[in-house]
Amino acid sequence: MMRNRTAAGGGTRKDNLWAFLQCAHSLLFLCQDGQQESCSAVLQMASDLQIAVRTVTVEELKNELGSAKIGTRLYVCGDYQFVRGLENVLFSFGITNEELWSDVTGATVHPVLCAGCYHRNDPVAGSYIHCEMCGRMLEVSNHYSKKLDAVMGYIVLPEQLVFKSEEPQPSRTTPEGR
Amino acid sequence: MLSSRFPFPLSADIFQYSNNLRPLDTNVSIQVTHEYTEEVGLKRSLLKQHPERCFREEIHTRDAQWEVLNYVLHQLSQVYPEHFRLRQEGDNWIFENTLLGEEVHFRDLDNDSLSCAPLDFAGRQVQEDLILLTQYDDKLVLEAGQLCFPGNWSLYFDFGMPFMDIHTPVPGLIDDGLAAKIERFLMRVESGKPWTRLNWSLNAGRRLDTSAETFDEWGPYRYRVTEDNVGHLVHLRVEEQNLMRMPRSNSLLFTIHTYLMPLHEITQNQTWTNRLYRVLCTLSPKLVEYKGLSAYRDVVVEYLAKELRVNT
Amino acid sequence: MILVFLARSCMVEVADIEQIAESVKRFTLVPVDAGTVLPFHPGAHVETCIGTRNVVLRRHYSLCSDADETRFYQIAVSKSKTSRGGSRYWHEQVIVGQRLEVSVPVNHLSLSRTARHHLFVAGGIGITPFISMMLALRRQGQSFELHMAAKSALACPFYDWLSGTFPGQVHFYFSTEGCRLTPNLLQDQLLGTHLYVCGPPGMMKEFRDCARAIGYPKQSVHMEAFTASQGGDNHPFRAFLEKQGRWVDVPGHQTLLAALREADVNVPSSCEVGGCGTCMVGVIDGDVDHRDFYLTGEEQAQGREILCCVSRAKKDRLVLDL
Repeated sequence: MMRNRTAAGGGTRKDNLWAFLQCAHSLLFLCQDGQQESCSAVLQMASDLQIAVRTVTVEELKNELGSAKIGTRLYVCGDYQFVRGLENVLFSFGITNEELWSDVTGATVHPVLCAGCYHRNDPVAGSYIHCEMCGRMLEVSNHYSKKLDAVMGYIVLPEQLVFKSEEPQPSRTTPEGR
Repeated sequence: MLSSRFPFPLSADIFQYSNNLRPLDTNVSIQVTHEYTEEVGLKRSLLKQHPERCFREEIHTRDAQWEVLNYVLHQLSQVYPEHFRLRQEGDNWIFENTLLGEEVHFRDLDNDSLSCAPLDFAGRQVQEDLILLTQYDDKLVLEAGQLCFPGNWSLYFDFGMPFMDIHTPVPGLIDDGLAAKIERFLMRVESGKPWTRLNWSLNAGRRLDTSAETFDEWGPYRYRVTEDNVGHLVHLRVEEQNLMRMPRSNSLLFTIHTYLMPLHEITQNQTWTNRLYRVLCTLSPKLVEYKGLSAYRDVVVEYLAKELRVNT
Repeated sequence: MILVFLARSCMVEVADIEQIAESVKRFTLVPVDAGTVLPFHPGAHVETCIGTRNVVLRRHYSLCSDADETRFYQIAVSKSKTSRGGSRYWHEQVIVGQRLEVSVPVNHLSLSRTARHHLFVAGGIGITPFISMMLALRRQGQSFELHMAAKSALACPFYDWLSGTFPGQVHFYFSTEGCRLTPNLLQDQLLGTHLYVCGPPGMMKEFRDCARAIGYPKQSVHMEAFTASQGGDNHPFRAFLEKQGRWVDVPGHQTLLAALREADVNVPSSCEVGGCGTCMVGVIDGDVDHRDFYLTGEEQAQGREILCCVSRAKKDRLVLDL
């Protein structure tokens, strides 16, 4: 699965990528080892637009950022951990969403924070888990914290499952009434 | 004498989820009611037992926190001069809280002169929860907060999150567009022009601390509502949320005062009963679910209908 | 720190008037009752309110004193040839000792908390909000530069003070010396630069367009957002309610919301100043005179929705989805 994490409005991925690159004067290109194949379309488009592409390594990134000029765009491609690590560096440097395009390869699954005891449970597929620490049953929500890099696991009561048997989704994905 | 107060939240017979903010004409955002001693006592004991759940701060918000502290203490002493006094002696500020019989000395902007963070200190003087958002170029971020009486959310989890992420879209209820518009509105709130909104739900049980962390303690009461206990067990829960711009730090402060009233008291007021009855009858299934009313809405509706028949 | 939070304005007295450039006077305002004025966030402005013999003059002026200064506020007023009365009154009538009301400081312009470098571009009196911003940046040890255009050194407000206070960080462009301030300076700036422009509308537009073309992100370009024009021409119009199949007349003195309610159309509302979006109604046909600050510029241009508490028809008719 490839997921673009730069919300560039509607339109297809190609349109959005085109719009992203059109404002670029040069492109800093960061790709995780072994993922180069996923990036060929981007490189082709940059070449079509005659944008200077600079391939940099993670180690070189900080230096490159220090001397890069305004109008530079950044392209990042890799698995979730790779992209998340780089995004933290880039955002703390003051890079805006408009200047960054990230492609995440593979699945993105987040740890689940237990609402009851704050234990970080390993990422799982599925809607319900039992907390490894306290044993509470949790509903895996889509409420995601970048800071904690986890989704909220809301406590589920046994009554809820019995009561709502016709629709086994307590669906408390956000705090009530907020 | 401290007053009783219950802001009834329903202004029409139909409830829709919307950005129901309106100007706070009085400029008074802190309410001291007759539950003051009890509720401030409860806040302080929760803060002591669960500090990580009830108070969070980014250390760089300390200046903004001092601004909030100044704001809260000045407001208390100006609006309730019979209970709170604030005076300056040289570099020292002296805050007197006669309701609790306390006197605190501190120096402005001197973190060491307080026993806790300034926002935490301010929150320990009022019934309100205090949430502080920092304004960035394109977003508001929750960077400090004292929260003892949450309506099923977690400050521990939401701390550090942008406003938009805190309000995860709820299909069919809160779409991305609405949250974005509300955030844009909030980013343009001007100092000197505070806003207010009322948020409501029902609570099974008389409990202010309905945190996501303790759902397994208070949630089960939803399944114990019966025809016989509904009037005393079920409460209308109202959050009066005020928000205002801090002129110096440009941060946004939310004050949240939570009120609970049991249904048997609500039904003393014919208009309120009628309105709550109609709203609960017409509430969309999604909202019933979202507000956590699925298990006992019908019992409440039945009870309100009976009360209306008796009184007409 | 005495705070006058509960009040929305405070009384001040003019303590000093200085001619700081051709056509520019600086006024020092000290609090009358309160011991201090509120500290403000760099880039803030106040609304001044002076009652003259005939009218009450309300004008917005950026504070050009230090944001941490609580003994007084300072504003600088340029005498405009096209003055509607405000700047001429300040220049010709206001005297030391005169009292007036100033609002709580308000920010429509503020410093980015994530910028690596701050680039200020000012045209003439447009320098005023940048003074408190640059002083704050200097205290925080942050990187910034100012480019300022004026007719000449004599006509340039704060010329001596800027040169002396921020040596090496300010650059002047005087048209009488044939030196023009152009958007070329926007190029070759470092990644993470934030741009702030304040000056005549034409200049702001030129710099904004150029910055966007160079690739400055939208959120890195900061301009003083002028408050939307309130009121204006309130001509009467008619609204056709498509679903109900009937007309509602909206007289000039009434809002669309009030007219709808009078006609027994129940539209929920909340703030009633165009801020919350509660009273939004779908528009099927007709041009909308948008006066809200809730919809985006894009949404306003599409014209498919109207906030009926403040907005009206541009012409004589609207067709609403009611």
